[in-house]
Amino acid sequence: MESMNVSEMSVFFGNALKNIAYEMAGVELIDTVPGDIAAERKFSVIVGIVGAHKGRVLLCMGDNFVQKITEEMNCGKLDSLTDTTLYIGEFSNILIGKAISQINNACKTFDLRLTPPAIFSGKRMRIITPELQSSILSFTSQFGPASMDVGFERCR
Amino acid sequence: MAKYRVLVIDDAKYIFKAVKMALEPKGFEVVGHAENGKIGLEMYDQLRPDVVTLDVTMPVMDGIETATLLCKKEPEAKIVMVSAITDEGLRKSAMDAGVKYFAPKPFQPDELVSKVLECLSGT
Repeated sequence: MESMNVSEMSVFFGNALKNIAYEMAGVELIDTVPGDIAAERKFSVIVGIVGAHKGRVLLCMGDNFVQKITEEMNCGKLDSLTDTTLYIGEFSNILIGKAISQINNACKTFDLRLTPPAIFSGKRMRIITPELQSSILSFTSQFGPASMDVGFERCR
Repeated sequence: MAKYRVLVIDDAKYIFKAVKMALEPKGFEVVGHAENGKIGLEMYDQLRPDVVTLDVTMPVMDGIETATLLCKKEPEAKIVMVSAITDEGLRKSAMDAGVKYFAPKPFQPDELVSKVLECLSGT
């Protein structure tokens, strides 16, 4: 029986975030210790995962990081906060899609799939997600921090 | 030479723009953008594009169901599946639905152009 625990899975998600941020926007992310994201405005993206294991990935990013990523994606400034949230949602969808493809290729019985992302932006946001085994990854970059909380309902 | 007409079925506005930026300088005409498969099938009937770029994860109707319905109704439909999900299981589901051509997300413009041309020529 193929198996993988949450920490093992989270490595795929962390690597995908680093690779896609670099590939799409030239942003280099460096691992750091978990902590609150100190930014006036934050963006959070939640993508559900279904298949043999059910879970979700929560990405939290500061305003500067999101502006840099989305402007590079758009080849210029975006007109509205709505467009910014839609672009960062697609960025998240792409990197999480990459990670689950690699997990599925490693563990074929998992057959993980994504739900369309939900995106939030605001000031003083705090999201609490109980009753999941989760693994928190934190990163820093010259455009500010990003963090990722990978949680699954049941895993080895 | 007539332009090849392209329909983009993808819930992401960014991908619509990226597909336009990749294909239009090469002489393609991007004739429409549908945000999910259900709208995409309706737009296919109206626009009769030469080729469709199709996402997988979308609200309302996903890419696999869209490809299944489109290929059943239009067996000659030309589809390039453009997705970040590239695992073997998904490729098999897509191929079972009738999709033969795949491009990854994110894509380089030339990479997408060559996949669309391959799809159009049936190579």
